[in-house]
Amino acid sequence: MPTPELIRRAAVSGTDAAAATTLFEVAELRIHEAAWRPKCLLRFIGQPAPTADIALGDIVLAATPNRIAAADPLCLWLSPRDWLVVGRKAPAASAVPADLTAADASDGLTEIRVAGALARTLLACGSSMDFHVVAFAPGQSARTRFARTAAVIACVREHEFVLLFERSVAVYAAEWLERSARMVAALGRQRSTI
Amino acid sequence: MKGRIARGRWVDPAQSVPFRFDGRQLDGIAGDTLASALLASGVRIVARSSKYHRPRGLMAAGVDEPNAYVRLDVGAQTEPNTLATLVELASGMSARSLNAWPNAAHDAGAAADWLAPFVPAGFYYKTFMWPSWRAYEPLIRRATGLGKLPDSEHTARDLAQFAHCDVLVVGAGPAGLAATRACAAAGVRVMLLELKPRCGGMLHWDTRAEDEARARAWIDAQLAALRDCPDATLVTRTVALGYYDHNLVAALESFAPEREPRGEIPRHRLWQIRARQVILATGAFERPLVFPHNDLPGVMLASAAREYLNGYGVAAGERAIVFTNNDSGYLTALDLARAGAKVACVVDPRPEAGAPLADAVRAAGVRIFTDAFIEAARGSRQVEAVDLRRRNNAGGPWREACDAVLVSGGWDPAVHLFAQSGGTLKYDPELAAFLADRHPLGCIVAGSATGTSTLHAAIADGQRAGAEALHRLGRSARAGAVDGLSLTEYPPSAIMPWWTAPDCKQKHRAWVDFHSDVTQADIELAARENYRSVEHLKRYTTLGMSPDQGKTSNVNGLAIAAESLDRPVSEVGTTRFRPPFIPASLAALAEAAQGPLYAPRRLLPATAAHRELGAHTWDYSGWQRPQYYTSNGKDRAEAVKTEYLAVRHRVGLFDSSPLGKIEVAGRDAAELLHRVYINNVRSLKVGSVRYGLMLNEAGIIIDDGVFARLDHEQFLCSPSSAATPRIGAWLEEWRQCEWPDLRVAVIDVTTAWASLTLAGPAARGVLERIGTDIDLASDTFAHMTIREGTVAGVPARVQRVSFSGELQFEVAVAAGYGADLMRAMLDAGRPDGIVPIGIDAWLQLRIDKGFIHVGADTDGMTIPDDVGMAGLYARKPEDFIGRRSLQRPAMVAPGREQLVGLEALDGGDPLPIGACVVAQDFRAPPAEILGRVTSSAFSWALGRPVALARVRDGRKRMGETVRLFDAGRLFTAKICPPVFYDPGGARAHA
Repeated sequence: MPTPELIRRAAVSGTDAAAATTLFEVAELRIHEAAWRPKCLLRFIGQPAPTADIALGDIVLAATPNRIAAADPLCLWLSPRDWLVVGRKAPAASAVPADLTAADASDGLTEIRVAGALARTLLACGSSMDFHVVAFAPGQSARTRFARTAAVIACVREHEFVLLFERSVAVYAAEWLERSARMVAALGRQRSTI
Repeated sequence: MKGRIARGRWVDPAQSVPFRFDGRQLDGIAGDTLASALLASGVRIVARSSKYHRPRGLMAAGVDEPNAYVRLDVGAQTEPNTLATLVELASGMSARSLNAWPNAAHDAGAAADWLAPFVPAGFYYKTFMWPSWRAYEPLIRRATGLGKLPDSEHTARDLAQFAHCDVLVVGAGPAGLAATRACAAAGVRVMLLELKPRCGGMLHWDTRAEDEARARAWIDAQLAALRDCPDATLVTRTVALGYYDHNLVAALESFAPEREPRGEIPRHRLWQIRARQVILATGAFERPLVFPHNDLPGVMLASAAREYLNGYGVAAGERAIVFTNNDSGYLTALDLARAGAKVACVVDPRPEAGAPLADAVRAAGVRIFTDAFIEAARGSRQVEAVDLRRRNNAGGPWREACDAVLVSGGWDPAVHLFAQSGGTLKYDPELAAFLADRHPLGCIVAGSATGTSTLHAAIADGQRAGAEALHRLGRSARAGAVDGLSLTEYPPSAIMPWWTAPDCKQKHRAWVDFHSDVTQADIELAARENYRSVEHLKRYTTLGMSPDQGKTSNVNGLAIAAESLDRPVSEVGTTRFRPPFIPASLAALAEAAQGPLYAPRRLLPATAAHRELGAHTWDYSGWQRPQYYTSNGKDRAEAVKTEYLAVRHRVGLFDSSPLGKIEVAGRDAAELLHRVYINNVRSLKVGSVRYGLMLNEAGIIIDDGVFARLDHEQFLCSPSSAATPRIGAWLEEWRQCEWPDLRVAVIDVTTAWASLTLAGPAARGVLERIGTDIDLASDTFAHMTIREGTVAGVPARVQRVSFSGELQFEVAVAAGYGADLMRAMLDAGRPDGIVPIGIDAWLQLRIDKGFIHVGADTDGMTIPDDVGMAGLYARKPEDFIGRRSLQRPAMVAPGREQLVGLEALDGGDPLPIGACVVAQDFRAPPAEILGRVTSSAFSWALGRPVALARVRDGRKRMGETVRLFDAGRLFTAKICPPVFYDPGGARAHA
């Protein structure tokens, strides 16, 4: 029997994960499931926790909380000892310093992008965080509760956000986003301004 | 007077709006509320009271309305309990009165009023006690119920939104607008909530006609200025439901589909607002006056009559009498008279009224009786006359005909949000009202909520509140930020507290709480029965427990209680206000958490493939997993049997993806696990897998599962599916809090992998056919080992473990390949008759082998020795979590419940799970319980039922016959070892 050819499938759309899929789109709000990118979780296991940035090849593990270190690969600060790198696979144990461990999370997290003038309003429907541009500006990220589940949210541009959900809840999260997006889009912006 | 007598400021007579009430076709006009349209249509009885089914008319015009709750049907949407005063009339709307049959005007339940003498306050504590209150409860609940939920599924959309601001202002009346404007001008983030469709509050209807344009211009100017502030947000049609710690305010915004035709508009938006400062400009509620038959339709708050007149052009009656102890009633009399309505007289218990206002009323042709009061109202289905009397027996009684009695007993500041968030109130004897006092969160109160009584004062107070909020934020207010407004207002005169009519003969007919039918007599009875605490009195009488939460009844009731208890009102105090401020739909509070989004649901990576196979899925700790597969039309029992037998005789494919995958890596990885598992972890060789148990500090089993050594400093732990998040947190807690010196990382990567398990004698052949570079021969890849390589061309980890008792390969690949790998495995296994396996069959297979299911075969008392696993740590010298607890006397004493097998002696049916194990000579309970059946199934491989049980000293009872008692049924079984199938394990090691 010939070896079957397996396709890596996107969590929400079920199609080839190599391509992005639009989940919802109106003029002021666009949601899509991003194309698959490798991801890895890095954890510092030494003592004490680092107080300065750690350079790891082209990756910078920022010491500043809730910041994105770069756009591609997207390196997100998760805790004083944890970073999530989107766009790089986990390096081999021999390639990282002794105080760092790496775990592959490429298929464990699903990346959903929300963009548009109503993106902040939509995000405000799912999390008690403050999404005002002053409080959550481009370059900031947060590990938080969104739509009653865990998420990592990063602001990559003023009106564009990356949301990372555990793959197993990605369909739920996408349905939640679409349902809320329809209402937010219908209400438009007139309801939240004078 | 039926119809309208004046030009309403908010309505457009040119646009007719047809609607139905209690089946009657009626017409309102654009801008009406349902309440104003009913009043304009001459509908006097809009509801029935809950206890006596007394006819009830409109009492108020806003959120304080106690009576007019209706069921509203608009298209496919039904709202069971809606205030008619807040409903914006829409064409085609249909409303029904509640708690009435066939309708409010003619209610069969009205006979309940004859029973009033038998059901006084607290009647349910005194009567209906024999044989049991429960015998009467359903009937009474039906008789006093509110709206009924529709039978159809809830289809409305409900949205929730969080918001943050520097200053939240609740109430967009004159004070709220001024406060918001002051804050917005300073550039802070400010949010303003208004429960009505339009801002301005009393400025719309409490101003004289000549001031109307100026007032409206002022409102428009404030809104226009706010519009220019990017960080100012206004949300109308939004009521603040609750005010909680840390300045969190919950508010409910309502949208009407008939008003908002776009299809995706939600019905409600639940706001959760976190503010640095909160300003409550919530206004005040006018208080009714208590006198016999004051509940007759036609008795209305004076301010409500003014709002209906000025806002909607509707007069409350053709011949009105005003009964007031303050200026408010005079203002209503004046507006009505100037609009051409007949006002028979103003009745005022004060010796004299404020001169300029009273003079204006007299000049409008209205008689004024000072030092007088209404002794009682007269009428049957609506008020027809009142009996008046002079105070101190100085004259009367005499009767005055009327069809409306407009009452004002003073104003109660709306301090509900203030008090429910922990603010204390103080009684102001001059205003005869409870005012806001101290607040733990430093909330600021403004406008008439502070007791101010003029619009001028309200605007000034709003500015003050805004400046104070800014000061607290470290900002300064901009001078002249709020425009001034020049209005013609009469100087206020003092109120005279008036709680009850003197020498009242009909206290049992003098209503205090109109919805719950609480009378003056009820409160006095409670006081006589020594209910001295207002909280007790409230619950005994149900005062203030109706949907309006006592907005119109609370202070009157407390004052009557104070008089009865011979204590000052200030000492009696108020009850604690509680959220929600008005009734809120549970669906609105649930927002997205309805239907398929009720809770986050976890899907398997191969969910699409499972669907293709006809999987019947169920929720297992949040994971939607196949219970069994019915694509071949078999019922559940047949499907489970087919799946079971496939594993025993051929091969089955089980999706084990939710099984935990926690990577433990780092220099001290082995050390951490050695301290957590009861097993020896240090000795585990790279590439090997071991079954282990975890205990808590008390020595109780909290989870089981295998762990594999991938590398010298890298382990893969597989806690049970449901326990994985908990065990991940457990490991992390110990690492962080107790052993921070260990250099180890604990990372849960469960969702990164799809795990598909081939089980059965033909499993090896299927895996070979699908293609793998891993040598699958048993001598190189033995049972309880793990290998890394490729399967079907993609990287994979393959473990040889067995929960089924058969040869088993657990193949883990990146989750994205899960669906395709499952399909490929089924294709490859077709020659062997492979079938997908659901949870049902999987759990039955393990019972054959006596493998425990933690939580089913163990409980909060079970230690390793109870399940025969003390050997796992017998030769481990080091400590582990829970070890010391295992040495406590109770853990080693005889009589512990131990895991055993049970052979059924009665026949072929499985023994009932949960059945009590009792002695063989058992006849009937009570009897000593020796243990319980914990797992049970029919073993098709053995052709007989098998069961696991925990039985006291079970291992010493091997061969003993016992009885099983379950809900009156008796069974007989023999105690045996728990491993029924392949006890030597040859099949798993194949």
